[in-house]
Amino acid sequence: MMIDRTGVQGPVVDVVSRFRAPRDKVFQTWTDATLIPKWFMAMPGYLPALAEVELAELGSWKITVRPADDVGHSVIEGNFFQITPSRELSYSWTGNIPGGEYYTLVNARFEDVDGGGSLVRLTHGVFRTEADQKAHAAGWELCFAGLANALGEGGETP
Amino acid sequence: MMLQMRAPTGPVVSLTAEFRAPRDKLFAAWTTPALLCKWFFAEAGYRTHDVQMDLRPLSPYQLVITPVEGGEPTRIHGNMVQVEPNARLVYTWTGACAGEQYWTMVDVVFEDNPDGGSRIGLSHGVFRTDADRAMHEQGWMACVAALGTLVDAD
Repeated sequence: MMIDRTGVQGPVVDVVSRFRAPRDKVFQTWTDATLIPKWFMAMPGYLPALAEVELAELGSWKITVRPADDVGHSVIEGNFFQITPSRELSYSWTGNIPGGEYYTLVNARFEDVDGGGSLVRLTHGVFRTEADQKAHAAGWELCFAGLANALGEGGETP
Repeated sequence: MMLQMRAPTGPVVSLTAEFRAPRDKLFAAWTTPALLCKWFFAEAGYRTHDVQMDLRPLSPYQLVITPVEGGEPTRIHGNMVQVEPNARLVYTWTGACAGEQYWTMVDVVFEDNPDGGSRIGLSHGVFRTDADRAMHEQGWMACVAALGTLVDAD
């Protein structure tokens, strides 16, 4: 038998985002099926996403992303493994999106910031290729901008 | 809103291993509690016990590891995410074995080796610190070595 260590760093998305809104409001916007369409791939060229969320341990979630030209919907889905309200979420992620055809894990932590506001620390991975990582990093960047809009903080510069 | 996209890579365990044994034997050793106890933390002064394994998606599993010389047991647990018999296992993982307790995902692929025998590719992450990563890698290296001893013994 032969063991080969193939790396100590792998393709992952690692994002820190700061909001004026308190963490309970950010958490609610993140998890409420009626609020998700306001930020998840909420941009020109897309119809509002369809979201189904069962916010319970092992509960399922599913988001359908709908390009406005209707060339085909993308479905992303998974299950929750950790839910600490207003603090932390861990959930699986898979879907018919480029680089998303296999299972990865999303972890999001919601933290207070001294002086007000909150912070989201997100990791997502482990991706199998750099291209898959890039595709998801780009998607998350758009979603975080959408989240800022949904929270009424769009267009603000640091 | 202030957004910081950090490095496109993070701490993960990534390893491959080749075995003389066929992949169905490896898959069985990975998923059968009585066999799992023989290689998972079996050679490092620890005893693995109270293994619960259910291969249906989302079913819980657990492993309890206790130092042979005595000491606090560590419970590793999670849920099956994807099970393709003799081909792939994806499961979540958490336990008091990292600096802080959080969820990671293990993805193991079982393949035929073109030269005979089989190979596995294992990925485990995303860890929050290099120290957590290094500790899990050390654990996996010892476990996979013990797995080789088990399945390649004739």
